[in-house]
Amino acid sequence: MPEFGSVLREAQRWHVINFLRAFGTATDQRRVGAVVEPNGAWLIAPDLTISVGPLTPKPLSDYRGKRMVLLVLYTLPSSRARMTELARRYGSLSVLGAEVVAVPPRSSPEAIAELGQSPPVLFPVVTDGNEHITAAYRLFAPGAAHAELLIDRQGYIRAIWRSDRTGMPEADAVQAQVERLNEEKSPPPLPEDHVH
Amino acid sequence: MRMWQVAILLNLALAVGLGFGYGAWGRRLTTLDSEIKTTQAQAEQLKRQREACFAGARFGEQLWEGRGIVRAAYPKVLLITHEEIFGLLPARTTSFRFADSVDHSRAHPGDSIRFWLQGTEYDNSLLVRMEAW
Repeated sequence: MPEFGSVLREAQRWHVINFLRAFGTATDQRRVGAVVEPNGAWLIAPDLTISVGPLTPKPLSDYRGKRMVLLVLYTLPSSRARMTELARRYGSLSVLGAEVVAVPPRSSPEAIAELGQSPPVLFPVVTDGNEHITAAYRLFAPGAAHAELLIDRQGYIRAIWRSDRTGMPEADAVQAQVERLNEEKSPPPLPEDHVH
Repeated sequence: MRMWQVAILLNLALAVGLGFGYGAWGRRLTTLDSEIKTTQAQAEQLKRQREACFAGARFGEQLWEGRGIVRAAYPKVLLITHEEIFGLLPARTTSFRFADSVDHSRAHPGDSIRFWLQGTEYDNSLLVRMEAW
């Protein structure tokens, strides 16, 4: 996009590109459902920065080729029961190769404290840049309801659950989809996108 | 001898020379690099042992410094998502046992802390000090 060179800085140009890409895929006619479809890897997860307190931030794309990610868009207090369920299930999901990344709607250093420690929430809870992440991922799950997106190891969104559509499934069902991704004999290639 | 033959011969001589050079010096360089890393690790370990000694530790114990976020606090154990603790652990979430001298009531989920561990390895290390990060 060299024409924008005089108007937008490089980082801003990449924001526009990333937004257009996410918007384009989100409005695609094909929908991602609550069950992982074999050969259904087409929706590239927009990259985001996972910032947890003062720890070194990490891009979502760092997980590519390594772990699946269950991205959880939650709000308190309505998501509390679900977050408790996920906290209890985290050990199994982690062993199966899935990382849970929880994103409240607004950036807050208190996000971890607000979730409490019974049971302890050990997965990353994003405390900074939440508004950007929410803006991008709410294109796939509009509204303010609790939503979970399962991203495979290659960086494709493979399943989406929304509490306002079908209700949230049992954590067992989410785990079953993770196992289904593990069973894929020929996983899709890594996306050939250029993300910033 | 023609000019192009001279050029080829020179290039060949240069390539062979570089190959031998790399064989001799390149390998030594790799060995030296790994020796330097080992020595650096030993120096860091000695530094941690000296710091532990100043803090009243027993012979052979080290003092590691870490930074992280408290995820859960129990009377005897603290769960921390931490950055890499050099010479001990990679970045991850780990449980650490408190030394009796540490006031565990000061740690709450979400707190960003610097902490110090004392021991000879992870399994026998104790969290001996912490402060706000």
